[in-house]
Amino acid sequence: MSDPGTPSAPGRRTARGRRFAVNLTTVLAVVVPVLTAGAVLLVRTQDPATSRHDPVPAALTSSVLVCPTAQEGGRTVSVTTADKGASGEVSIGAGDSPDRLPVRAGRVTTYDSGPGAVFVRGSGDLAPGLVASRFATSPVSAGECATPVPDQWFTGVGAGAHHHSVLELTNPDKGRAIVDVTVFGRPGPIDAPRLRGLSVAGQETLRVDLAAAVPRRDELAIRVTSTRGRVGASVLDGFDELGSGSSATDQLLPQPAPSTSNVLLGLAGGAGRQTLVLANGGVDEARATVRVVTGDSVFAPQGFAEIRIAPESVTRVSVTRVLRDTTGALGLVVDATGPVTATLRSFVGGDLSHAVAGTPVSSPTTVVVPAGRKQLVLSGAQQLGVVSVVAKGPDGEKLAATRLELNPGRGATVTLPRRAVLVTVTPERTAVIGAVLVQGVGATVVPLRELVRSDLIPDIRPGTP
Amino acid sequence: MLLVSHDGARWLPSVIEGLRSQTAAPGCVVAVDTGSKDESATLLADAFGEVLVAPSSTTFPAAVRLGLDKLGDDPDCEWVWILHDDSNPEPGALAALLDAANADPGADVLGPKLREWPSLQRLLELGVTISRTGRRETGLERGEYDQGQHDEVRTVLAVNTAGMLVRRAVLEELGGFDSQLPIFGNDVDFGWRAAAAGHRTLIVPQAVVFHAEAAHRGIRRTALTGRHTHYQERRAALYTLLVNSSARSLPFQLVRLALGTLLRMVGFLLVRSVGEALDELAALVSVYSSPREIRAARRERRAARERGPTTTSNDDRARVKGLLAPPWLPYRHGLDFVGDLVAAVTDQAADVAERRRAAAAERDPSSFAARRPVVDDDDVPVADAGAVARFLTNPVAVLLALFVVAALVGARQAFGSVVGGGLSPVPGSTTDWWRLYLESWHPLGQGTGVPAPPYLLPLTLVASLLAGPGHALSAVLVLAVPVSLWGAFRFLRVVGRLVSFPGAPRWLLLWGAATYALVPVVAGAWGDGRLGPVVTGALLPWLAHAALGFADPHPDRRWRAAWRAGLLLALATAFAPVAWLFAFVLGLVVLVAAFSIVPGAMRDRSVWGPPAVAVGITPVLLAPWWIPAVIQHAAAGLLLDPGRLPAPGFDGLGLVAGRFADLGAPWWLGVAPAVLALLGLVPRATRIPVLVCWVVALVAAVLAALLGAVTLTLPATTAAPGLGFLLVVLQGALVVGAVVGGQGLFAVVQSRAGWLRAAAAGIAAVAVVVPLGGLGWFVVGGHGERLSDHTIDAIPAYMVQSSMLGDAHGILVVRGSVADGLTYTVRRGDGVTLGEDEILDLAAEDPDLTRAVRALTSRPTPEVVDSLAGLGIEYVVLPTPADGSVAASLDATGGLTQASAEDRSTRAWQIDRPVAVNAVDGPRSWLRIGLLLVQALGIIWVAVLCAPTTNRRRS
Repeated sequence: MSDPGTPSAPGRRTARGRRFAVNLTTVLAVVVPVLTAGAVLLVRTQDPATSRHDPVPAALTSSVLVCPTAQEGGRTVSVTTADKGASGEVSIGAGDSPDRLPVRAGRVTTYDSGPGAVFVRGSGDLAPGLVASRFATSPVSAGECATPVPDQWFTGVGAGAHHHSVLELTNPDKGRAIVDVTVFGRPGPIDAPRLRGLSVAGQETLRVDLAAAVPRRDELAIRVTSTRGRVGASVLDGFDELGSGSSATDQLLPQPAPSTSNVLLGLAGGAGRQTLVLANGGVDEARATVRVVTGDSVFAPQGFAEIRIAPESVTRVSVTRVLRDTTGALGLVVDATGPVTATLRSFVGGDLSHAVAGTPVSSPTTVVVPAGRKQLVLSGAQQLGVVSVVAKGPDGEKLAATRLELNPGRGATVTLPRRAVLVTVTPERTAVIGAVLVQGVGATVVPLRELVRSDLIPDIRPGTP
Repeated sequence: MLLVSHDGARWLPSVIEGLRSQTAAPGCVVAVDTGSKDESATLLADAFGEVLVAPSSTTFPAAVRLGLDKLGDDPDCEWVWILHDDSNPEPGALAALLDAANADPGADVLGPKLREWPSLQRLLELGVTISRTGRRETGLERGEYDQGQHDEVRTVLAVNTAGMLVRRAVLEELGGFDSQLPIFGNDVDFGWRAAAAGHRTLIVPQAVVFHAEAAHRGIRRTALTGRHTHYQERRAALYTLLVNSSARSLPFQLVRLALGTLLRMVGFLLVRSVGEALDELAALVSVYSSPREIRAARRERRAARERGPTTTSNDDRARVKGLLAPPWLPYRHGLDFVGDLVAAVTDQAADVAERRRAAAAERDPSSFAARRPVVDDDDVPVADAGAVARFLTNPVAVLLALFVVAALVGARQAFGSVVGGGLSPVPGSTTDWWRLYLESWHPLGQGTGVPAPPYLLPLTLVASLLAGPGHALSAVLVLAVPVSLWGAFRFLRVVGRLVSFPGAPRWLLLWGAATYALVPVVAGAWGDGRLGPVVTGALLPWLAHAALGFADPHPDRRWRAAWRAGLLLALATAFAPVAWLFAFVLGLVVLVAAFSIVPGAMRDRSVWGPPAVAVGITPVLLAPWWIPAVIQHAAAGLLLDPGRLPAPGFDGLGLVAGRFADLGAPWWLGVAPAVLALLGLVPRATRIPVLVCWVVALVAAVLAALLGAVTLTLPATTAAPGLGFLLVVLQGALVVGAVVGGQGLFAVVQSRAGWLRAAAAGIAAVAVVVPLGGLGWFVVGGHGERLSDHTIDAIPAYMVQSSMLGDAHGILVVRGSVADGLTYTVRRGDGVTLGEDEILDLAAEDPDLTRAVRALTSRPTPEVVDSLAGLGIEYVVLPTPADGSVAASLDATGGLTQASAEDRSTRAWQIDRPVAVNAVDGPRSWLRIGLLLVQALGIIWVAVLCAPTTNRRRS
């Protein structure tokens, strides 16, 4: 009720005032939620960054090579370094008091040691590119001194009377090493509890006679894994032709891992028996095709059927006729649908030699070879490339140097001087697989290996608790 | 008759008048005046002739002695009647006393009934005794009217010296009053000695004396009382107890009195009487520091007892014990005090809305506030109904109780050990947490000076109360939802009343409180063990309720609200550091708005002062955390929420729906409060309060957007600032806006009908789904099993045992691979426990250790192993999956021996060298210790200031 004394039209004045105030509130009632929505849209919390940090390569500062027990007449260890210009002393020997041996690049230094396993340790400049070998001369047999690797495959070992192998495990470190040996045979994985958890004491050698541990007549493949510590593993393969009395031994070289493509180079010439042993490392059945490598081409021989290998099992195929029929065969290429390992065993003239699947080499590499008739066999190029080969004699003098082109799908051979003991192979523009076939009294194959020059320094940073 | 006077001119005329009109006239009168500055001496001289004048420092016992000496060997004076200058006897007093003395010849000391002067009706004392804690007990209520209820003659321990009638021989035998008690407490001591010596003290209610209690009330200040009468009285009581108790109970008394004094100090602090608290302490110190006097006094009393009459001492002791106050009396007083305090607290809850309305009504009687509206039927309590019946017939109360029970069922994972999500395991005992909080250098990682997180202090205090860190954590998690519900209900009720007089309907309050209480749960924070959002979610409604006190009309209550809000804000910031930032920004916004809307009111300091104090007190209370953190270059911790990293985050939709990313209840349950708050802007009557809620939400959203763009780089990882608190605040603001809007809608709907009612019913139906759905999801266990984590540690048990031998026995754990990068951590002691994650996340990288680990994993040599031992590492562990090349190179290193682990694929080595014992030691930081002291004092001071006002009158 309006008082008669109040000014006229009080309602309108208040109404106008109220409308003004109401308008501000209404405006705010629209603006504030819109601003809030806008701010909300901008809200985003960052997820914590989880990123990879790549390791940094750096030159090796120490390396050790494990030379297997000497075969008959082969105690000498030959050492060299592949790094140009590097020189110094390496420590060589077995046990607690090793000797110091001066080593120079481009020269081979020899050392007479005891019959047991020998460790060659290089440090500083001599660590990368350290190469050593231990040869037996008659029959010629190459003993490769390799760095300990945690996991490797030996294909074509035997554990019977006819074909027997001895596995040798050598521990270069002070601490105890534990090794697991997994055995594969024709029917599949073989249960060998005695070969699991083999313990090798520090700087000791353990010899495992497979014929005693897991006696079997079929071809076997073993996988040697060190779960603790490091061991250098080597297999001495022996072949007895019962009845006729000839027996031969040779070191069986390992293959790092099964692969779908294996190139086996180094065929000893002459009449004899050549056997190809394949092991399937996967859990699926693999089908393998075999092709022959010659200087002109790589071709599949006629009538050679596809080989089926059951999962985790070993198959043996005789390739004697195929190789006999082919002139100029340098080696075999085994392609498979699954990862397989392969070894070609040649029993020629009473002498045993193995050609194991090689690993591609893309950087300059050096091998030490025994004296005798020898030739370098190369193949496995992915594209057209050039390979330089330098051969040096015992005093370090250059005996021969060649450059040759290597085409993919072909093999190539280089005959090396008889006196050469040091062979340096430098591939350009492509990786090659190669081996040196030495034929003297008996034959042996010395494969080309990629030298380990650097190790990786991992990225270290503090982590969340 | 012996009259002692000091500055008693006010009362002396009446006293003299009273003495003159005694029916039984006293034989000889001796007046002693102890240096009065007024005309007391003249008055006494006029009335009684001779006056003994003594210096003003004469104590009461000395004055009595003087008087007795003056009486000399007068044989007439068998009885001595002692009077104070403020005690006026009734005409028949002396006669009644003498009659009683004749009737009972064995009585040696008689006292009258003391009534209050000037009211003349209230009883003061009818005999006095003392309790075992030194409190003077009269057995009467405060201000009890005399209606003849205590009118029988009884034996008591002691009577007041004002009006005491005592045989002269007994007085001489007992050596008068103890000179160690100058003015207070003589009566109880004398009575006790008399009773111990076999004399009897009677109270004669027929004799009445009116006593003004001038000295006790502080009306009369003498050189003896000083300003602290409380100190003197307490000291006298303690002294009396100590010298008169039996020798057997003396040690117990000493301890009990000390503890009792501490308790009384706390009680006085709680009612903010700091002076009296200090008086208590001073009295205790004064008595305990004069053992010689006490020993001398005890020897005197023992001698006096041996000289005394031939009653057996056992009888005497039993009689004295019977005359002392009953032993349960102190505890009754304690309970009364607590009851008073609780009543005061609940009284305070009569909220700010009522007070504002009352103040507004006072200012303008014709305004709306003064109108007395029709009382709602709901508010009238059902007469004669017991509490249980009232509870059961109140549907809202029943639903609240059911909600709490359901929340407890849903929180069942938290009963028992809680590990997982963001929560590391709790340490074994509370001392571990105390040590972690109080030390300034932590032997964690490689040793770090990063301060312990601030939330550790409240958790440790709770753990000290609940005897174990596990119980404390469980209690916090279990009680978070009920406490949040209670706080939200209180807060919403006050907000409702602030908006309109009848307040919001209780169903609406229930909905709002339930929806808010479930916010940390349905957001997924509870299930992931994120203490920040959970605890601040529970504290926020209490903080908001305290902050509402800033709108109170009384400045005193505004300041009280400031301290309360400040303490709660500090507690919330301890759990979610972003809370202070938010409070600061919001405070700025509110102040700017207030200055632009009502600039006049802002001129008063008590209007803008309390909010400023509330925000400003937090950095002081949390100083031992943020100052060392900044100094140690760990300032990133000032924005991180507690808990293990990585913390869950959210994006825009998650913020609106109140869900952390990949956690929480289905998101469509959570957008309802936002939609409802938007709709709440529609009713015009409540538009402004809802707008205020939206402004709070806007501040939270803007702050979230700004902080979300910040990435904190920590030594080991990157993290985002902890924004859980902002999510809780935003959801809370939306819920409050929805409730207030609902209140406005309810008011509109009540008057209209038709489609508006249907629409309101529809909205209500949709709204109800939110808390019900959330509660159902919680009870069913939709938040997962993360809190019952039972993962087995990768570290073998024997290594853990070895690391418990000392902090220098560390275990280096290296994870990752050479190809992807390796990360390392060092585990010390009992592993990472709750409270240590935050320290380790912020601890700087130790470059020595990084260098050593890099060398160890790539080219290990015996020198590297030596350096590791020097850094305090005893074992090196590579948990599954272990990188083979790293393991192989470690196998080859001299100085590392292989150690076994339960899991074959976990590789471990032991370092042969002995660890350096002081590898992780570090300097003590006096700054942090000083700041801890500041924090402790600050918390006590603010807590005292927060206490409610109790109106206690001194008895």
